[in-house]
Amino acid sequence: MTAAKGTAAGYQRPPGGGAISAQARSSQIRQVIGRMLDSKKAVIGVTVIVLFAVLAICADFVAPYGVETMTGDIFAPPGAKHWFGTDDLGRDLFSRVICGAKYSIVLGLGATLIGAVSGVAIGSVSGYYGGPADEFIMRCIDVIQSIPGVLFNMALAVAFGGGFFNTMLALGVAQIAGTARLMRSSILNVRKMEYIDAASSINCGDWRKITRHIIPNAFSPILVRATMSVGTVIMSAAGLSFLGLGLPVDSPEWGALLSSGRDFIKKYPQMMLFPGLFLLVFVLAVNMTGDSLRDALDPKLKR
Amino acid sequence: MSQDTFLSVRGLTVEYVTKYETVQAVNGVCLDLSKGQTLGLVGETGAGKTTIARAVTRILQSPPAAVRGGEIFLDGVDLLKLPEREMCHMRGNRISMIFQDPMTALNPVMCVGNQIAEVIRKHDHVSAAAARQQAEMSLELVGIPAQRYGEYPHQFSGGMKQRVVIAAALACGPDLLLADEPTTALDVTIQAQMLDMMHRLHDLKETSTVIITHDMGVVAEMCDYVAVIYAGEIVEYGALEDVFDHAAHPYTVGLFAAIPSMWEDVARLTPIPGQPPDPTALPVGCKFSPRCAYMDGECGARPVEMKTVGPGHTCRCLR
Amino acid sequence: MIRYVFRRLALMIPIIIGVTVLVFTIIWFTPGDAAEVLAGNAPREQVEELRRLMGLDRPYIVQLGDYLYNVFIRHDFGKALVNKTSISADIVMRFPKSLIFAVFGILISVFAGIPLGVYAALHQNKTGDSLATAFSLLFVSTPGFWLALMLVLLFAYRLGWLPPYGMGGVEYWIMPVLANCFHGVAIITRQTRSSMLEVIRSDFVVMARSKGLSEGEVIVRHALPNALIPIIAVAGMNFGGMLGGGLIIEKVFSIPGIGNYLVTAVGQRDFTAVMGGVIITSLFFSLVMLAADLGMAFVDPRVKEQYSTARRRK
Repeated sequence: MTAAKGTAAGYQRPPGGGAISAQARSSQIRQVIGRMLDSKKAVIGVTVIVLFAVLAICADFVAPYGVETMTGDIFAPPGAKHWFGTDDLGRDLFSRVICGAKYSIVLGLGATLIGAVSGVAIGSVSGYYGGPADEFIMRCIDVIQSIPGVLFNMALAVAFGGGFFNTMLALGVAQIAGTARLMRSSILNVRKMEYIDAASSINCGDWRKITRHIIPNAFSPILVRATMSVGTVIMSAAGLSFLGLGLPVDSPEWGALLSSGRDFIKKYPQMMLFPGLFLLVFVLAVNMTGDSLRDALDPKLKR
Repeated sequence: MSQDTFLSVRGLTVEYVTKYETVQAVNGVCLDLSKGQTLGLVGETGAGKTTIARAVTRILQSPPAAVRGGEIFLDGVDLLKLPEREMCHMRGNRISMIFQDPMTALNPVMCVGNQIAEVIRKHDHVSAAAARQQAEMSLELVGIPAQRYGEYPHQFSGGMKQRVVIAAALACGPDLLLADEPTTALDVTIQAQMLDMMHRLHDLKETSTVIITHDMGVVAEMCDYVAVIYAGEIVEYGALEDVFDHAAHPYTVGLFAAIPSMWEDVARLTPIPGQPPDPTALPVGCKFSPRCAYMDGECGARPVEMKTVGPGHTCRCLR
Repeated sequence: MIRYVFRRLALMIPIIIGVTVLVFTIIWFTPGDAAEVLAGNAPREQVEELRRLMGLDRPYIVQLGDYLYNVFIRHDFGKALVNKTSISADIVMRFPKSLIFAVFGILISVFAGIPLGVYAALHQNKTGDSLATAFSLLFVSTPGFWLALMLVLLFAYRLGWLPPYGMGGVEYWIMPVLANCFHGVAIITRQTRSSMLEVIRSDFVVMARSKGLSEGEVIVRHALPNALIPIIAVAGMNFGGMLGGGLIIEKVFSIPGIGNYLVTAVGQRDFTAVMGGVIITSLFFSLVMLAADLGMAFVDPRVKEQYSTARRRK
C-alpha cells in the first residue's frame, strides 16, 4: 500500500526545497538511487568499493602468503610468484597490500562514523536550540578550525598515542568540528523554510519536527560529507603512519607500508608504488561515489 | 504579410533535447509585426512563449535547446542565418529583451548604472563618461534618481529592479522590444505603474513591441494584435478587438471564461478541463482536441491549418 | 570597512588564546615528555630530577598560566626543551620557507585552477570537460606525499633531471611546489566548475547575452565575478591547508620549514617547540581566512553590506 503510494508520489517532483512527506521518502530514496545508477561515475565508484571490501574481508583466503610470512626471497621484483614483489624482509607485498585494505577501510569508516555521529549530535543541539549553548559550541569550533587540519590531526594522533584504535579515534574526533558546523548551518537553513512553520501551524511537536522534518531535510549535505570523509580519513591516516605517528611501521596499513618502503624507493620502487596505487584507487572510488551522491541528492545541479 | 512588416517569424520550430526525452516547445510558429505596433503573445505557462522570444534574440541555451527550422526576418534580414558577431551587434542595440523576473535578471555584484552603461558602451562606441551620462538619463527616464547609479541590485525593490531592467533594454533605443512577462513578478499597483511607463516609452520611441504574458488585462491595455499560443502553436491570431470580441478558437473562449468578471455575477469561474498536453508526446491533430468540448473524429486525425475567420483574423480550428 | 578589519583582528586574539589553551591541553594528555627523551635510558630518579628542572612536574593550570603569560604578555615562546634554542628565532628562520612554498602553491592553484574550471564549465559534458573533471578528481584523490615520492622517483632517480631533496636553487623547489599544488589545482578546478555551472544558467547571464555582449565579455564581466565567491573561500582554506599541510611534503624533500620543524619536535616530545609552531601557523591561517573574507567582500557588495550592518548592530 505504502509502496504504491510512494511510486505515485514519485512522479511529482517535490517543489524546490519542499518538505518531504513520510510516504514520499521511500520513493525519494529510490529516485536518488535511480539517479546514481544512471551515472557511470557512481557505478564504477561503488563497484570498486565493493571489490575492495570483498578483498579486505576475504584477505586471509585470497592472499597467497601470510602477512608476516618471510618467504626468504628479499626484494623480489614483481612477477608471477610475487605479483607485487617482496619487501626488505622478504614478505609478499601483494598479500600485505590486500590485508592492509582491511585496516585502511575499517579505519576510514570507523573514524567517519565517530566524527559524523558526534558532529551531527552537537550540530543539531547547537542549531535547533541556539542561545548560549550554541554560542559556546560555535566559539569552540572557531578555535578548532583556526588550526590547520593536518596539524590538528597530528596533535590529536600524538595525544591519543599510536596504534589502530587510537588513530581511528583521533581522526574521528578531528572530524567533529567540521561536521557539527555543517549540520548546524543546514539546520538553520531548513528551520527558515516555510514547511517548518507549516508543521508548527498544525501543532506538530518539537520531537516530531526534528525527526520528521528537520533532520531528513538537513541531512543530505552531511551524507555527502561523510562519504567524502572516508577517503580523506584514509589519506590522513596514511600520512600519519608515513610520519611514524599513526600505525606502527610493521603493520600492513597502506601508509605504514609506504613508510617502510620509503628508504628503498630508489632501488625497489615496488614497495612505494603498489600500496600508493591501492590507496589512490580506493580514495578515488570513494570520491566518485561521493560526487555522484551529491549530484543525485541535488536535482538542481542535474539540469 | 503586408509591405511594412518589420518582424516576420516563419515556421519557427524549437525543441529541447535531453538524453531522455525531446520536448517540442515551439512548433512552426508564424508571426508578423509592423513597425511601431504591439503584439501580445498569450498562453499558459509552458506554452512556448519565452522560447519564441529567446529564439528571436538567439539566446536559447543550446544544448538542450535546438532550433529545428524556420526563419526570423527583422527588417528583411534572416536573424537565424546571421553570423554570431553580427547577431551580437543586433542584441541590445536593435532587439532588446525585458526579462520576466527582475529579482534574478540583474547581476548582483555589478552596480545598476554600469549594467545600463555597458549596453551603451558596447553599441554606441562612446567614452565611459558619455555612457555614464546616458545611463543616468535612462535611469531618470524610468523614474530612478541618477544618484542611485552606483547602488547594487540588492538595494532596490522588485519594481525598481524591473525599471532598471527596462532602462537597460531601452538604453540603445531598440527597434524591437521583447517583453517577457514584464509584470508577472510585480505587485498589482506596481504592475499598473510599469504598464503606464511602458506606454509612455512606447509612444516616445515608436518601438515595435512583443509582450509575452498570460494576463489578458495586460494584453487589453497594451496590444494592437494578439496571438494565442497553445502547446507551441499559434491557435488564434488577430487584432485586439477581433480576438477579444469574437474569439474563434475554443481555447481562447475558454481563456476568457476563466477570467473573473466584474460585471457578471457568476458563482464559479469556468476552468478549461484537463491539463496541457505532454510536450514530449503531442497529439497528431489539433493539440487542444483532448480538452475541447467540440472535438469530433476529424480533429485528432491530422494537423489543422490556420483558417481565416475574418479580415486579419485567423484561427486553427476545424469548426 | 577598515573598522571591520580591526574588529576582526581584535576577534582573533581570543581565538588564538583559545588555540593555545586547546593545543596545550591536548599535549598535556600526550604520553611521554621531553625529559624522557633527553634522559634516554637513565634511571627513574634522574628523569624525575630533569622533569623538575624543566618545570614539567608542576600542575596543569600553573604550567598553562605560565605559558600564556610568557606568550601573550612577554611575547616569548621560550626555549626549545631539547635543543635549547630560542623558538622565536627558529620560527623566524623556518617560517618564510614554508610561506614561500605555500604562496607559490596557491598562486599556481588559482591561476591554473580557475581557467581550467571555467573551460570545463563552458564545455560541459564535452571531451575537454570530461578530461578536466577526471584529472581533478584523480588529483583530489592522490595523497600529496605519495605523489611527491613518485615525482622524486621519476624526475630524480630515473631521469636525473632534478635533485631528490634538499635546499638550493630553483631546481630544488620545482618538485615540492608541484607536489603541493596538484591537490590545490584540482580542488579549485572542481569548485570553479561547479560554481560556474550554477552561475551560467542564471537569468542575469542570459540578460548579459541579450545586451549583445560577446561570450567572453559575458563570462569575464558577469559570470566569473559571481562564481568567484565560493572559489575565494576554497582558495583561502586551501592556502591554510598548504601552510600547515605541506609538512609531510617538507619532510619528504627535507625542506627546513615549519612543518619539518613540527614533525621533528613532535618526535622529540619537545612540546614547547610544538606549541610555538602551531600557534604561529594558526595565526597565519586566521590571517589568510580574514584576507579571504575581505576578498569576498571586495567581490560581492552584499557580503560587504552584511559587514557594515553587523557593525552597526553591535
